[in-house]
Amino acid sequence: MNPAWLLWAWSLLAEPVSAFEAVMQGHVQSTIGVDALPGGAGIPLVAGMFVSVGPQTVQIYDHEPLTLAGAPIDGADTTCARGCAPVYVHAFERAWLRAAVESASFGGELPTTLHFIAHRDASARALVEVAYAAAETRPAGPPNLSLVVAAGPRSLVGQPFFLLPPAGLRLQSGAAALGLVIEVEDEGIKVTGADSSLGKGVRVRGAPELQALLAQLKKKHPGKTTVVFVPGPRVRVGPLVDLMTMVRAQFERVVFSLGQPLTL
Amino acid sequence: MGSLRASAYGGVGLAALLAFGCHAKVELATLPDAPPASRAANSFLHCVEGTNSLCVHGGPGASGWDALAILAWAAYGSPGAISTYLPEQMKRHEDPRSVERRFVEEVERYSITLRGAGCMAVAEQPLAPIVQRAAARTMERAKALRLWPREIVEVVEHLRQEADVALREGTLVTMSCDSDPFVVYTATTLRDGRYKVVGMTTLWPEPLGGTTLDPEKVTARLHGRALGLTGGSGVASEATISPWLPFAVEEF
Repeated sequence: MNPAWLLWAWSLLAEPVSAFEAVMQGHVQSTIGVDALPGGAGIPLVAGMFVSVGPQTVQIYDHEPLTLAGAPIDGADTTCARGCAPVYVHAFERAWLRAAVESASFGGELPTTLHFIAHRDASARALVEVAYAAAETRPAGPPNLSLVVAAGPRSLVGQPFFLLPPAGLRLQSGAAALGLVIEVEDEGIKVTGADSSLGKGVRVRGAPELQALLAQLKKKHPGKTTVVFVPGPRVRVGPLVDLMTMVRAQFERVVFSLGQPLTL
Repeated sequence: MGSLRASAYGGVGLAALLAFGCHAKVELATLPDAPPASRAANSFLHCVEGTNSLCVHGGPGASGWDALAILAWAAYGSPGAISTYLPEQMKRHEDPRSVERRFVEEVERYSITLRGAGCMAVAEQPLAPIVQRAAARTMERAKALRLWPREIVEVVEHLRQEADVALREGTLVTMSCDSDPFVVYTATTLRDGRYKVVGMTTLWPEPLGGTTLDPEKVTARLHGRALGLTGGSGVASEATISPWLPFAVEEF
């Protein structure tokens, strides 16, 4: 007669139940806490790698946390095209290697989705730095990226996002791109793009003014869905996600950048 | 963890000097007085380099190693993969043919890479305490991550008992290599008076006795032939802007 645990294994195979969301819930509650996550709507979490970014630390899965690195100008790792802090590069390469070896031995594929669990008070720029290091070190190309937000006290969902290519992006002249970029700083918000009304860039003082400007742009460019966010050094994750939620009503696809060149 | 390489090098190096002088290139071999588990591990890798999976033999030892490998994975692996694949792995573990197949696949994955990698046993550790540590850590982690709170105790205990019985006299032999995969771990057990290799892996958690690879070696492994990971972008197609922006340029 089969032991109970084998019946359990069979039952889960017969009716696959995703335990991943429960794992994420457990991890978030025992580390950052659901209340400290930014809130918002999103899509269900699919199994993948997860990384927590707090105000002081970065943690891959539930492994030993890393201290948040400073601006990686000196000693930047050359395996990372944009120049990532070596501490992140080494940690993520190890994580990808472990994932590759375990997927070869125990099934599945190299994780294709990378979830970021970011504290509201964490530096948004640090989050993007970490995202670049994680994505650039993945040996089979950049993964799908997702920011975990709280859709309720017991519900975690993911907001997909992208990164501008690490060395920047140059689009061909016939691409007719709008290339909407929102630089967020403590002192204000700067909007740039290929629309003539934006000139060399328009500064807005807050969310309502930004919302009005974006509504005008959307009317002129209804097929454009993408916006690039460049968080400044003092911007926190919580306020940035609040701003993103507002912007997504007009331009739903979010790309993060650290200021890489975007040539239209 | 006892180190074997220094003493082995010392003896062979002296013999080499006497026989060939200072500039001769000498192939190092394990001394006959190396511990039997290390000798078995070295012989196994030589066999793997020559004949691949014909070196693999199943049986209780292999099942015990399989149980320990699952425990080590659950203790330190990716929670995403564990939450998805543990039930499937438990089912697979109950079939001795699947256990042997996993061992064969592991050997075949690295057989070409291992040729000329110059692997040599450098350390031995008893497996019995590793089994206990892996089981304890899995329990602690499963609780923290809320992985199947009702069933996990029985699953872990089943694996722990199986690994404990099969590997009680076993040894984890760490083998250092000059190139990818840089480190190979083999599990040996004593059966019918002889040491036999019952499992192999190329990555083992540090808290369970694994060694930490240098960053350069990690990079080399990630882009090495055995894992076959480099090349694809996974999420982009020709119609998209770039692998980083896998959507149409018209939306930008």
